[in-house]
Amino acid sequence: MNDNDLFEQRLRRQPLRPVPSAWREEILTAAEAKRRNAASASISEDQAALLVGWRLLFARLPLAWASLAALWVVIIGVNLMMPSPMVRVTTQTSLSAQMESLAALDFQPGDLEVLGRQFSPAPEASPVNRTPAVPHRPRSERRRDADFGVTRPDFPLARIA
Amino acid sequence: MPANIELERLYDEHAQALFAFLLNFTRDEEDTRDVLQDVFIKLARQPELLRGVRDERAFLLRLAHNAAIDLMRRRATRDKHHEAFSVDAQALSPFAPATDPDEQAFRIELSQALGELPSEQRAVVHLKLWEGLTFEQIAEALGIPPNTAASRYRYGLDKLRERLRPIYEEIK
Repeated sequence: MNDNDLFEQRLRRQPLRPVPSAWREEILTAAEAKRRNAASASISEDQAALLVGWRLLFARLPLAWASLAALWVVIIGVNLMMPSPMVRVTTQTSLSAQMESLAALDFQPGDLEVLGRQFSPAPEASPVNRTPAVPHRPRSERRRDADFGVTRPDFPLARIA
Repeated sequence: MPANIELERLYDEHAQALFAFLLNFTRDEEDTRDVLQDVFIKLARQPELLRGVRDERAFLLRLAHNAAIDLMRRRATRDKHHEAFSVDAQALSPFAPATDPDEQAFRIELSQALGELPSEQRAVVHLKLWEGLTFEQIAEALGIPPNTAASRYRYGLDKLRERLRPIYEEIK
């Protein structure tokens, strides 16, 4: 082992000063306190951010928010003014009415037949036997009758063409 | 594990090493205390820092080193003549006092010689000699390449050898 190594080993053997014992409590207490402060600060920061957010939201349209609040007040007021038993009776009535209508829809087979008979259309009337008042004759003869019997010579079709 | 118990464990396992390193680096007991407290406050506020860390000691030494550099920068701008007022040699010494006068004289000389080294060489020499770290571990702790750590160690050790040769030859 050369001299350089011996020198290095001698340096290594030098004992280091111990950390002062009082520091442990002080440092750990300070660290814990800072940690708690940081935790509470982060909570209060969150709350502050939330408040700022709400404030911004309400500050933009104050009239609209006020109207909405007033509407809610009216709705709540009306709701409170309504007596609650009435509400219950109304609910029951409407329920019973619904049940009745449902029961009415519950047809029996016989009912359907009765209804079928009542609303069945009248039997189709037999076609009217219309006998012409004037016997069917050629149009030329009908015309002759209308002219009070005066006869006119018929023009041959070939001549017209 | 609760945060305070974890913090106590970290303190009990690493505070001695951090204290010696910081005292050697800052050369001031009050600064050492401030930096040590800063490190543990940081750990208390951000316990996730240690999540996934393989070598706690190296990581904490790095935290301490960075905090000490920050403090010394602030101190340098605030009080450029800080070291001129530091006269208590024992208060600056990172070594335990010795009962043997020769040994005590050697430790005081060694402490002064370390103080004359540039802080980056002093940090490497301390971690190599008194923490027994490898150059890779030193490089990780100080955020430098391993070759740089090795060269800084050699330069620092040579300077110490030259500076301490008279007293070393005398008490050998």
